[in-house]
Amino acid sequence: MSKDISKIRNFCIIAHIDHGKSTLADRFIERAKIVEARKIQTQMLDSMDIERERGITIKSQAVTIPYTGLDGQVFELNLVDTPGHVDFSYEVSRAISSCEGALLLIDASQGVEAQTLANMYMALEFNLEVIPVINKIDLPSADIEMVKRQIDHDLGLDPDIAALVSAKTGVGVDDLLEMITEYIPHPKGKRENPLQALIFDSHYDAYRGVVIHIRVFEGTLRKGDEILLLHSNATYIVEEIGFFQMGLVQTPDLSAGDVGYIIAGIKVISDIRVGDTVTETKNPCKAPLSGFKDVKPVVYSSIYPIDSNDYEELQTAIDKLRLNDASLVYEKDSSAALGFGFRCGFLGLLHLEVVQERIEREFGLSIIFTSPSVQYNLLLKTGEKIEIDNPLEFPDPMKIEESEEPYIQAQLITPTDYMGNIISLCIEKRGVQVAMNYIDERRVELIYEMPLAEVLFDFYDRLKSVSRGYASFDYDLLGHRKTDLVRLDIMVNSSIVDALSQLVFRDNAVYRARQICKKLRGEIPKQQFKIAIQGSIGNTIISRETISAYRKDVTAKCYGGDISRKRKLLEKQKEGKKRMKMVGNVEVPQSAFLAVLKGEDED
Amino acid sequence: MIDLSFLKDSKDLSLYIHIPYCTKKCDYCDFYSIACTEPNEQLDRFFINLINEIQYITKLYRKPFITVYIGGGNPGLLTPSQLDHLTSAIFFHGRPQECSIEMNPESITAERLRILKNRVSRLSIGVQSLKEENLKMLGRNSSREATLNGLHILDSFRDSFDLNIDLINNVPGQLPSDTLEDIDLIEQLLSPDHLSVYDLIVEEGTPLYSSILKDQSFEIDSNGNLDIETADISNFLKKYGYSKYEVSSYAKIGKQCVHNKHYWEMRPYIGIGPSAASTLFHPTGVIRMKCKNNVQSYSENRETFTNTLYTVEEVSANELLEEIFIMGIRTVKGVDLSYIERLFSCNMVSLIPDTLKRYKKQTDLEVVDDRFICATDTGMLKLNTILIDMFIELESIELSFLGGT
Ligand SMILES: Nc1nc2c(ncn2[C@@H]2O[C@H](COP(=O)(O)OP(=O)(O)OP(=O)(O)O)[C@@H](O)[C@H]2O)c(=O)[nH]1
Ligand code: SF4
Ligand SMILES: [Mg+2]
Repeated sequence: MSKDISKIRNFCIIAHIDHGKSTLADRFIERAKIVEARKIQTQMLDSMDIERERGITIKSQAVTIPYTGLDGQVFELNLVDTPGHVDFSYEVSRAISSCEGALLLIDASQGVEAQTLANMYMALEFNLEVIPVINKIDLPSADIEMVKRQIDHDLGLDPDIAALVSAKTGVGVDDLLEMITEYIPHPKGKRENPLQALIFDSHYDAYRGVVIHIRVFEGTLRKGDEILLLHSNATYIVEEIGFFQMGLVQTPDLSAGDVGYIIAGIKVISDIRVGDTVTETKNPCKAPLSGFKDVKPVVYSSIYPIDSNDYEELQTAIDKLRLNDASLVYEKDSSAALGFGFRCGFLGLLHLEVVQERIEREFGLSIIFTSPSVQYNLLLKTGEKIEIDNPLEFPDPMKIEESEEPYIQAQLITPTDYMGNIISLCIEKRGVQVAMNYIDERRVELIYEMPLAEVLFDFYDRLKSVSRGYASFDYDLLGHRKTDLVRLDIMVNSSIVDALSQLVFRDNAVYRARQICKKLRGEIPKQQFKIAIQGSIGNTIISRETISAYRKDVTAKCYGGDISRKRKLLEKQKEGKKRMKMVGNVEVPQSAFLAVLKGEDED
Repeated sequence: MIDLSFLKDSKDLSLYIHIPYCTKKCDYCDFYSIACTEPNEQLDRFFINLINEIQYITKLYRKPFITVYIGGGNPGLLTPSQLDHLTSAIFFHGRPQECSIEMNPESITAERLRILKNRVSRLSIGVQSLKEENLKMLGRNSSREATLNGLHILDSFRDSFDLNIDLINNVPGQLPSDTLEDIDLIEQLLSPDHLSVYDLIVEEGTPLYSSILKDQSFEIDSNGNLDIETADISNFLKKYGYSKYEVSSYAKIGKQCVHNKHYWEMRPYIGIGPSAASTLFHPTGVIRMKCKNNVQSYSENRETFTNTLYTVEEVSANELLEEIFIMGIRTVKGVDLSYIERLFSCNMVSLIPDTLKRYKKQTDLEVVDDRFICATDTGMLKLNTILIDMFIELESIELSFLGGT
């Protein structure tokens, strides 16, 4: 039985964060009855632990559902639920390129927001049919007319076709399904053509190995076929194909228009590149599909295993994670203090946090991140322009003509009670106020321009504490602006601790250096000699702490009764000492790096 | 019941007896003991089982012990008749080379000393300090007055015993001269044969530990030491004829404590009483036996050396070697390499070349007569650092027992 391509609809659900995408996906899944009633839960597609804990979508998730139209026609709907947070916009862009249409959700009480616009532009760029959907119409604060005006003015879409739904109660969902079959075009392509499929995602399954997620544009793929990956030029025999429901569901073939998966006993993880084209060895397609734009990281940091023996495991973990997170950029890195690791680029701080948690949870590794850095533009005296994010690559300051750092436009929404605190915080963080708007009597919106680097350093915690957690924060990148950049080094008995070097704004250096030196003083045990801990910019010492030598390291009393205990105590100290890193002649415990890099505050 | 039948073939066994009672718990105390009044029925019940166990061991061993140490707690809480009974049981097969008993100064009475005089050879008195403020800081169960009073009674028995006085140095708030003044006074009063001057160890879980943490004027390091400036005790004691022979022990000529030297040489010893530990050599290895810290169940026990009361662990060859170093390196004489060679048939100097080289260069360690590894004055201040480096170097080496001692 061959499928009719005119009965397929591929679409994604896009929106600003929290506008109800995953909840709407629940309603579609529910109506398709592909999930047993007792297994129905909220935001079913948010299957990762971190997603459920944080209540946000991090990964795009594809699912195939049947739909019988009012006139009795049976459709196959391939829908992709996407994340709304800006840090995961790469997920959205890839979902878009595997679809012909998009549902653009707008929260009826919040209206159009930053990611509503950004995601819509992305969809239009790929010529998707965009259906505006006003969601949460059940809310008392819903203002449908206002949203319709915004759709018209701000988005330039036709407000008359906007669907009115409540993803929560299900109102309007049936009409929306009809609209999808009506407005969104069916895929083009012929099942007889040479195979041409796009890898838009992948993941690693502990039992089955690499699972490739594809959208087939041309041709047909069957079990047993030999596939060719155009970019890596690797070939594999297809062991299993299928489509996504609340798990993987096998099927005999996938053909033009379909969204599904391939399992092919892939051993070399690096063969798989999201954006690559899959074709058939015996009858290859002429050209690769256009693939995806390269990601441009915003925040950088190095990851090291806490136990340096775990480097290889970390390598495997990152390779596997990268299968499922195409926006993760990394290369090998090494530090005298922490051993081998990876320099990584992230799309934002949330992305960094998610990567950290996923490595720890999914691969059971303990890792440490160095201080996050932004990317700076440097103009050298020779006229050469360079971009750097790694303090270790900072050139001799004498050679630098000018430096620039990225700025953001920050949007803070807070109850008026905390406005004063927040303004002080923003000023301290080199922010310049652009606007202040009262949303209602009790809430105010503050717009600031400030350096991104300031947000990376204890901004979230401070904001949370000065606003008791009531303020919300969001930002857009503005581009680079002039700055005065220095490299802050931390030295222990005159040896630089490379893992603690940072690029900082000159006026922040002293404060930062003092904080780190103080923290280290509390973490490094007394040793046989005096230890000087210093912060420096070039040859100038800007902060100093000392640890005096111990008077003695001996137990005054030891008789027969204590001996087992004493031996066990020394053995424990021995294990601690083995984990110490030598910085020059000083033994620095791993915990000292962790304490500084995690920036835990004592008081 | 634990099989100790191999003891019949053992020799040179030392005996330690733990009396787990004190009049009041001191604030720094980490020993197992409980507070009790005098006289005390609880103590009497404990005593019955203690005697049973001693008799059990003497029946197995059938020789005089080489040395005996009755410690605690405060063995001074035993009644004169209990002291009589106890020593008789211990000496069943004959007198040891040395028999010491500990006693707190306020428990010294003429009756007790009259009984002990012809039985024990050595008295060890826990004076700790003669300064009222230091005694207070330690939460000690005696006052300056009561202590001097006890020492006065002792004076008339002075010739019947070798005498040790315990002192605690490094007490928070003390002056460096405090301990020196105490030594001067004690020397005038009794001119002891032996002094043990310990730096205070602030052990986690003691009341002193909590109060120092709260007060925050002193930092406690991972060994429980406080960073306080102190006088050079070792040098000061020379003028009275004492020389240092272990981290905290000083003796006049011929007066070193034989029992403690056995510990530091890792010779076999059996410990009886709650919390007491034993190191016993059996034909194929070494065991560490330890009695639970529970005087209640000890006293109720009708059988001797039961598995419910005692735990037994094998000490591996590598562990024993570590212990030999932990103990031996404390002595001025040093670790006897010939003993190690006899136990494991290995040449120690070649097992830890890096540690020896590094610390010899820093003049912290010496190898004397090709037979002893010993710490110098500076090395004595960093024994733990040295031991840890040694153990790291020893990690890759697998030792085994030759059998026998
Ligand atoms: N009252 C009401 N609440 C809704 C409706 N749809 C979603 N919500 C609620 O809005 C919140 C966010 O819903 P999600 O479905 O997780 O939003 P999302 O767009 O998937 O969010 P991200 O994936 O993080 O971008 C949840 O608390 C939902 O219960 C609706 O129609 N009415
Ligand atoms: S007298 Fe000794 S054993 Fe008793 S409580 Fe004081 S320190 Fe502890
Ligand atoms: Mg979601």
